[in-house]
Amino acid sequence: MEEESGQSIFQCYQCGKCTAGCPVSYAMDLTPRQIMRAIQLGLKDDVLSSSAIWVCLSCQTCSARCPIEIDIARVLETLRHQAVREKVKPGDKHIETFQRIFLGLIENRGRVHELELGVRYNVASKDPLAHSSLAVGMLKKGKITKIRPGRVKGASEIKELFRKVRSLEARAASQEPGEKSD
Amino acid sequence: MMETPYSYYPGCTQLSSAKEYDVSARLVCKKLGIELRELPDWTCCGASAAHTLDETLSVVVPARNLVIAEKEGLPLATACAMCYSRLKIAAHELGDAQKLERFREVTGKDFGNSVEVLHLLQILDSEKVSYPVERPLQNLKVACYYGCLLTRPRETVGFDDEEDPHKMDSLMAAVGAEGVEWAFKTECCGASLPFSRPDIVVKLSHRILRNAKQAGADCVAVACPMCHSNLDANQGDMKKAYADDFTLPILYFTQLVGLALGYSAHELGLEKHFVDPRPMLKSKELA
Amino acid sequence: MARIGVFICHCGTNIGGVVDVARVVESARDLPQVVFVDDNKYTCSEPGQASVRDAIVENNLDKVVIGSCSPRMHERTFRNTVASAGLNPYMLEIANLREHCSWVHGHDKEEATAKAIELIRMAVAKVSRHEALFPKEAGITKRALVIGGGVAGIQASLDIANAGYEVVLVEREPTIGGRMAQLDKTFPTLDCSACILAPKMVDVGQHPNITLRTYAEVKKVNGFVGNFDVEILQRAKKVDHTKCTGCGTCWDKCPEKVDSKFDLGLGKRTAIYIPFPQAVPPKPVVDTDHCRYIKYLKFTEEGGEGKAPPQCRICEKMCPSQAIDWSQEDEVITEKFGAIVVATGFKTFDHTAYEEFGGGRYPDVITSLQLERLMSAAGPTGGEVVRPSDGAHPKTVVFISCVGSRDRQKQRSYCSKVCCMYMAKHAIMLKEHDPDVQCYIFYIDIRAGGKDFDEFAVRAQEEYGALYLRGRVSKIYPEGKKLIVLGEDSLMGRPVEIPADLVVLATGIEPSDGAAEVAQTLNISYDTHHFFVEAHVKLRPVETQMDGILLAGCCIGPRDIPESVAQGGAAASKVTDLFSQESLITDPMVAAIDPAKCSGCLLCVELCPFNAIEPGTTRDGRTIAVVNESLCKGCGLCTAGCRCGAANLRGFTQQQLLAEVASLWQ
Repeated sequence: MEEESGQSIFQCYQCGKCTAGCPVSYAMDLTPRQIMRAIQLGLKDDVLSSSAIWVCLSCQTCSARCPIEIDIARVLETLRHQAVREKVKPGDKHIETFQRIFLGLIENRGRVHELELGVRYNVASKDPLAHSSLAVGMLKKGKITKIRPGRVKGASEIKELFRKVRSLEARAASQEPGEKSD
Repeated sequence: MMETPYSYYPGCTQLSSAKEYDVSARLVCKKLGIELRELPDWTCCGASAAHTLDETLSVVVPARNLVIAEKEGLPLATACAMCYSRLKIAAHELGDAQKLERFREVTGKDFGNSVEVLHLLQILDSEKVSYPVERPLQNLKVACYYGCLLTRPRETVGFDDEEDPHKMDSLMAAVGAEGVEWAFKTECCGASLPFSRPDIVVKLSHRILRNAKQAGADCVAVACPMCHSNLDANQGDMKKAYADDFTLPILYFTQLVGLALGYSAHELGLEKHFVDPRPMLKSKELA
Repeated sequence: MARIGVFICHCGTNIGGVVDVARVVESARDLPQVVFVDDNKYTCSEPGQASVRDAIVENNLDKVVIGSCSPRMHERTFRNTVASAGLNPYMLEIANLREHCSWVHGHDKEEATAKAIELIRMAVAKVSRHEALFPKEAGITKRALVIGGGVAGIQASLDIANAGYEVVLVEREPTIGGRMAQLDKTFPTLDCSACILAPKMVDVGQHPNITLRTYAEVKKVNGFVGNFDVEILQRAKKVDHTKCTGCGTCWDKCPEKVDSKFDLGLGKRTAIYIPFPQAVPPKPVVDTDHCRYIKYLKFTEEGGEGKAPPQCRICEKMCPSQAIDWSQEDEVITEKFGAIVVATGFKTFDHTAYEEFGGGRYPDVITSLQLERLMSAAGPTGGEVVRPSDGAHPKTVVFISCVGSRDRQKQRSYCSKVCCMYMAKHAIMLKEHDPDVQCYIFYIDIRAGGKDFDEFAVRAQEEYGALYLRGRVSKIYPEGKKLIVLGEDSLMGRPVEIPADLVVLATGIEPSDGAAEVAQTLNISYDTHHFFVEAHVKLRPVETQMDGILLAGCCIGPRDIPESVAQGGAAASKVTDLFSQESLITDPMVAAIDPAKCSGCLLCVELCPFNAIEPGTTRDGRTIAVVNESLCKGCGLCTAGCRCGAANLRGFTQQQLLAEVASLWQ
């Protein structure tokens, strides 16, 4: 994990400033400090299946204040990528669903249309009428100007980029069967 | 004062839910003689989705726009803090020769990574630009909210102090308003979680607004569509969840500047906000 | 032709167990100019030395090689042996057959023996070119200079003065006392700091052997141990201390109020002032930056426009002893000293660097030293601990440790050592002041290593109800009248939010302002943090690399009062050691520059790290370089750098070293 994230994880002396400043640490099963400790102790499963790595907002408050200058947000991000790669069940289903749909829209449309994003998310989370007051409000105020999502010229290019990246990653994964080093 | 024109990257929300940010930004720039040329054929910057799920995509998706910008040969300006952050971080990551080479392979483009990425706050910096104020925003106390992305990480994107930035405050002072001293300038509002974890957004945004209110602010100025949406659209839920009873209008800083430069509330799209700022502004004879 | 004697020591089995001494002896017999060879079981012993002595006398030897342990062990011993046989003690060369041979090649006796043979050959080649060397004597000025009037400097001054020597104590502030004078109570005994310090301060002020120069700074130092020439800048006090009685009328009546540096901005003082009531000397100085009359004088001198500021001069008019003397000017005083003790102390980390704690904007976020001033009965609030913002008594007080310590981001990775203890002290003191107060202490570790220290920290929790929370604080922000402190209790793994009335930051220790300049003036070493560097961290903790310059107290690194006092005493004893000698014997193995060969390029002057070489002139007016033998440490840089071969290091001349090397091919 030190190598992949480029951070000196073993220098963390568990002072807790990251957790103290993290706006969402209250909503995490493992706090940022505990994540760092868990990595130090090699508790891979605990870490990759935690909700913490998904709830993290990447607001960088922890990294900005860490006295050892460890980029903790980067560590959590690297863990999240690893969890995705290894297909670990996400610690927060809603957040992962949302981001996955979002990314899918970027891949297919090039630009993201919010109404479509909202509708697809509601369907996927089996709650079709969630945030409906918000949606109505936005429509009323003209904040959602086009009901039908349009196509962008660059969309096909984006799709191709996604395809290329995905195939490169698949190739890399098959070349190294088993787990990547932590 | 004439400057070089900028390539302008609007970002997905500028077309819809943040239309008024786009409109007000363009109006302000027009008045100041700053030319914004929309980047042709731009696509999504990847927002939070790309960097949440995939390392390579987090760079490739926004960098596609940098390639186009490099061809245009102009510095790239953006209004959304998230777009700014992703574009700037992509440019920073591609500073590594190995990563740049891989990027060239994947995209098949000969990219030199020479684009300068700027946020509107840098372009409209009151130290560089003079403002022909027609309607000084007197007696208006503004809590300038920078959000978490504009100043962190310091080495990559930072153009202002991480904990107590002042560029927006100086801008407000230049147009006659007063930027209040408050403690939540760069605390996160909840970012991309309004759909998946609205509870978190309500809590975090409430904290921010509470501190702004206690600091005596009449309104909050923002520089990001996500922050705007989180702070503006949830105040009803905040009232339900928390005991304190207040509403605070949330405005894009370009809307405030636009008011000072003489545009009307309607031109600047002020009626589009969930919390209507017009009564407050009318009471100060500013709209 | 020399008559060289070679003596190989077995050193018990240390050498003899590995090296075949008999073969070494045999091979030595064939070496040029060697007329006598012998071996010995323990050459350093009485009989061993006697046999060497006898051999020298009986065989008329004039140069000696001893193959033995490292010269660091017995060079002095064997030089005395050789001298006792009537030879110049420098006609000796030691070949290290132990640390350089038998101890490192113990697994290969053949190799070891071959190496020992070569080492002896080299030593013989070198010693054949040895010349008699004679140490010189230098006089010692038996006066000591102490820089810095904190508790370390005070202790050093008293000890040296009590030993009967003259001391000049130079202190930058108008009074001595340093940081300790600012403290209220000291841990773990909770003695009143001023009460235990004041008697020592008064002793300094009254001691017949101590000349106290306050409001003064050391500007230039030249010379060497026993013979320092020092320029002291005595700043103008504008008060004649020989007339002043310290009655206090002037500072009572002075209308100009200035933020008090002693009270760290929490209180005011006047333009003519003493920093605190027990100041020594108890006589005021005029702060010329803020004095109204001085401003008036400046205005008239520079021909300012508009109305002239008021002349004031109230102090002068009111002084019953006519002690105000506006004619005083800054003076430079040159004095001679034999030794210098540096005790320049510390200041605390500037916490405004932590923007997340308010960057200095929140008046109720204070430093621990500021809290001391609030608690002190002689302080700005008369000993009432109140919030600077509104004067209310705080009921919830939060302490934050390691502010500017153990923080790589702020370039202060070190621990400041005393903060854990003083936070416990503060928690205890606050509870004594107000039984309703609740103290919270955010810590990372508790460092309580001294005598009764751990018990003291535990007492703060058990008897005084201080709640210790393990975790750093990430942010402080105001909400109404309170300060919200966001921290974490890492032992429960939960974020903690405390609405505090007062927040006290345990700011780290760093060297006083201007420490680097002092070090450069004295030519002593300092580290990246500007702490001064000891000669040896473990074994020579109060000495520097410069002979005659000693260190004491926090200028070396963060430490506690008893350590500073002990070091003051230790430094004093080094000084009295020096002064108890009649004269200084200088080491003759120093550089010498042959004036005939010297071209006067003065490259060596640049190279010398000890400033021991100076330009001089020959009688015919030619510039040459001249070595000050008392300063020279024999490092050899000048010898290596000299382009004309004029510089040579006695005892390690170029000719001697080349002979050693050349002998390996014979």
